[in-house]
Amino acid sequence: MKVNSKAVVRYLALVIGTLVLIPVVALGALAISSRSSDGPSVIFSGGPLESGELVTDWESDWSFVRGVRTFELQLLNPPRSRTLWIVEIDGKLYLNSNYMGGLRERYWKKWPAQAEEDGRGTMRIQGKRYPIMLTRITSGPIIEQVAQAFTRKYRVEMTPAEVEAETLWLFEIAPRNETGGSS
Amino acid sequence: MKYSYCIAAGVLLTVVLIVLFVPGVAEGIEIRLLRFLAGVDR
Repeated sequence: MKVNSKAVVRYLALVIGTLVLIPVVALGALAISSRSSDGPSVIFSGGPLESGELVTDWESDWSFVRGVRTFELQLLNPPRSRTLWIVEIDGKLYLNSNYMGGLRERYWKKWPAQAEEDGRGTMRIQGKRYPIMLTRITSGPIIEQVAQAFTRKYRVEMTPAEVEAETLWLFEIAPRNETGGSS
Repeated sequence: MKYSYCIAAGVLLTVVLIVLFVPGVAEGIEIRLLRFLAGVDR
């Protein structure tokens, strides 16, 4: 019996290629389906935040945020959402973006630069949506307070030196003022 | 050989459909991936 070695190699390559492609295809399907979903998934960014009561009156007391582990943020442009950490200090809200700079920022984390350019967005906390405006903070005594607040809450050390080195970006979350003519 | 390509394509298509439409599969994959990235064994 004669074995066609070329055919065997081709079959083997096909089987190995299919096995390699299975996780790639699965993750690709997850990423693409997340893009059109209402909010982010565990890993992938999601589509616009659509469900939940839209609250236009800014909360007078955000102290409940201390017990909130994560929230969802969606920028208006582009309208994609992701899950982030949040802290409250003296009635003001702050979010962070770690691992900035280098390849991660260039190929993965584009939303901080987009938020710096156009800070308009929507956040969803405990099922409620709030129109917000993000403003990046890079200096001042608040930097140390915010870094300490994140360190205390999430047990991941964040320092003002990281902010200075631009490997850690901090944003203040404020209510969005729609009277400025922007939509 | 053509038949084999069809089977491979069918397998990949089935994976996509399972990930998209079977409840819990997507979440399971993401949680496993997250654990792997975080260096958690189980």
